[in-house]
Amino acid sequence: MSGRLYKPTDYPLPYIVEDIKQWPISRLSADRENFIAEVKKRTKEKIKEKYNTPAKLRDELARVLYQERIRLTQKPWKADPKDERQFWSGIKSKFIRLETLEQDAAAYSEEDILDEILHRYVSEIVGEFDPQAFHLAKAILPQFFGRILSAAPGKWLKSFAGNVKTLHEKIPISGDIEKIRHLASKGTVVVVPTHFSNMDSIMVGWLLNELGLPAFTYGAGLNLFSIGILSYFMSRLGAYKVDRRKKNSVYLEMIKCYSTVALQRGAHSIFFPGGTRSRSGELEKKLKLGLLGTAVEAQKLNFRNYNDQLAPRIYIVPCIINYHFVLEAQGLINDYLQETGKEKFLKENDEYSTSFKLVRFIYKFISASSSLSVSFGEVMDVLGNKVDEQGESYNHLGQKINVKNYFITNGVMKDDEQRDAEYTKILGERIVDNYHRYNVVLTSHLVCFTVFELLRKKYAGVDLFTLVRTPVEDISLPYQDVVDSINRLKEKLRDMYDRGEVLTSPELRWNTDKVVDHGMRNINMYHTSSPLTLSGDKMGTEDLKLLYYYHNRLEGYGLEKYI
Amino acid sequence: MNEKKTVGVIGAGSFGSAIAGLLAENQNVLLYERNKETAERIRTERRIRQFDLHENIEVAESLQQIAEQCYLLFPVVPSQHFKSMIIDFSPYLRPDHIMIHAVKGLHCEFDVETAEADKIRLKDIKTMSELILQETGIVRVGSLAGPNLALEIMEKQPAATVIASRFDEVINEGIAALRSDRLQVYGNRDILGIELAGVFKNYVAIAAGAISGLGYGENAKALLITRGMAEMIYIGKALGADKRAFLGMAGIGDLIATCSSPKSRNFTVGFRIAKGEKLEDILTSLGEVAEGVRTLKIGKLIVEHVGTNAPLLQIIHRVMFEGLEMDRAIKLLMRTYVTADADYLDL
Repeated sequence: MSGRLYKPTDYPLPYIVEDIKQWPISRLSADRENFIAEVKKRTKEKIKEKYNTPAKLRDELARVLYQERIRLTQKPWKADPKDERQFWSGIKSKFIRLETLEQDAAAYSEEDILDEILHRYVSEIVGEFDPQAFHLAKAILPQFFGRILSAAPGKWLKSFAGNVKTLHEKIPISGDIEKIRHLASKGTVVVVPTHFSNMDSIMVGWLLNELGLPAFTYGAGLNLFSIGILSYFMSRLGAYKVDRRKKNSVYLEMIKCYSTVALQRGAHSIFFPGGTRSRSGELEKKLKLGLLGTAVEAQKLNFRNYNDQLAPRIYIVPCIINYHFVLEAQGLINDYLQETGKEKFLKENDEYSTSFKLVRFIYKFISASSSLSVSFGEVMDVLGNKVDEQGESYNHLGQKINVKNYFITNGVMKDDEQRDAEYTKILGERIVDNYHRYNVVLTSHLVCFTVFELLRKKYAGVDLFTLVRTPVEDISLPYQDVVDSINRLKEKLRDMYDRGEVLTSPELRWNTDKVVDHGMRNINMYHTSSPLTLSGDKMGTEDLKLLYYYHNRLEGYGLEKYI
Repeated sequence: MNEKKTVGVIGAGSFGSAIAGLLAENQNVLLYERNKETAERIRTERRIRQFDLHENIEVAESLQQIAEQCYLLFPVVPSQHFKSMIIDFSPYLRPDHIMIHAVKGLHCEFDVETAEADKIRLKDIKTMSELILQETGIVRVGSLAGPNLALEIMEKQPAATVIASRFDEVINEGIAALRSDRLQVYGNRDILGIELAGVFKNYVAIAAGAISGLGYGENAKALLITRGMAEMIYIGKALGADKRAFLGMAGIGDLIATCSSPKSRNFTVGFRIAKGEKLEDILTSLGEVAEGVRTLKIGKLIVEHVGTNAPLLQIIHRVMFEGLEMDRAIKLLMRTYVTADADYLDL
């Protein structure tokens, strides 16, 4: 790791661009009308490219209409506008006229209907950035996070009461912050965090602000906008709305175009490339490539629209957030253990539909949360090559490369969706690799991993689903076995750390008794049934599913061999 | 040379020359030969063996010259030399180069002669496309394979080939460069499958030569080809490849060609073994590389490492390197337990 190291007291860092009005997202918001027009134009072009005759376009629009009417009846949400039904009925009647009348006699063409739908969608999706709301949030959020991360009320936190730490001692941030700051002033940054909790987006937004970066834009679930206060801030702080229910071609294309145009206009963005929160508790292995592809697309367009030297560059920054515990763990792992078919249904539920639920959620977080850690991976170009302080790309052999060349064939820039989709896959693989290498192993995860793997060994031959349903009273392991295994794992993790394969939290250097104690205290702080228990010289659990969930965080490193 | 674009061919062996000849019908070709004397001779005589050099082919001065003048590159060098070639080439290569190799062999990061099956790591065995990705900054990589006996191509007989790549663009560039009235070019996105099909057909070809050498007829050969392909599919499966590639031009297509033709080097090796010649003597007199001999050694390590059943490979290996008598080998093979016909379709 290079660059300057920041001390906890250095935060928040000064903004790299002092004048908020000069932030890319402010300028984008100020030029909202043109931005919207551009998104519409681009989406329309893409759709017309794909459905390149009036007949094909008409068929596709019929499909959109059908899907939307299904959504209206089967999955209505509070966040839906009141005139939603009316709008789609209007589209339907225009469609009928289009189909029944002769082409030239029709009052509407396919394109007119497409325009109308595009206008409807973009008005819903678009976010804005209001400096005043930003200042207000800045005044509130540190308090909020300060409360979360320093001593908070609650009897289980008594032990920490004498040890009030500052915010940034509580959240160790690792990564080349200086480089990220420098490149954010030179080009456009796309932060791609892991996704374990609904807290992630707030956490990442706040963190990036602490790093002195201009506000980022990101897609937030439309359902979150039905919550008054959240809606107020999100819609004014650059979040755009994404409706997971709308899976039709026009809508999906528009979300992509929205992101592409925002990136072209230099808006730093956050993508959660895992799509939804990790259900199993494992680090993301496979990424959703849709939004990620817009980074590749925007980079290509920048090369096309500017001279070589001037073309704005897009930099990808993986971000790994590690919580000792995840509030939604119980629900997530239950989803995971159910049939995947059923799980799909659950995904679309409306978890935080009321302010009450949200307040309860935040309260729990404030009163229960302990330290977490955040690490940033390597800064990469859109092909996943490493980027140096100056923003130049180097391939895996250390050869300096011109990223523009990836889009060139026989000396000229060429459009090729299939090629770019493959590039996006390559980028995705590099991000996943970073997630593993820059993952910080916390004490709680290590202890959970060890205990669950020991159980797996003890009950060899029992399949996972049976194992997690074993009555917890029957679960018991000699404490010394756990310690012995952790000793071996600690050694292995040290080797892996030296090879750059993983990061470890400082507590892992403690003696193993203290590691187990620290891990147990942190993970048991929140859950009503403790994932880890110790009585006498026996370790056990009160919840095997939770134990399995936290264990999964260290899945994929081949550590089970050393148990 | 005229105004047409120029593509590069690296390696002026028999197949490299054949590829260069095909490419020269559609564009200019820069041909690279590592051996300076040979390169100079080709340049002055404008002949490779008994064949005249196409007027559109120029002999390159250096790999650097090829990298600078061509974006489309066809390396055709034996697999043992591929790594050193690609390392020499690497400093000149950029992400806008497209590379389609035509090498039917594997690279090993360990010494094949002394390696033990349980100690090797599969990731140390690499296809040529993996080697290109590892050693260069090129991303757009493809592989060319199929029933393409060099001699027949040089004689301008009709043929077909397949280009595999995860990039449609690479396939299309390859097709545009190679397609002619005498060559059909198919595309396939499963590059691993195509590469492995091209590699493993080599040892089946050795077996086919041996069968001919023993004087057996077409029934035996049909049995060999059909079950040889099944075995290839099983080995490919163990290495993560899909069966489909093996059922196409680079699998069954190439098998039929190499297993029927005395023009194939691998076939010749098997044929002469069956006639009682010693392997070293055959290899010395052939002059050129028979990839199948190496494939056998690597293949044996692979099947033992992953625990796949590959009786044909294992028995041919014993004949070639462990002194098993040919007629005894045939008896052993005929006694192997057989399963359902076309079982591999269910894979």
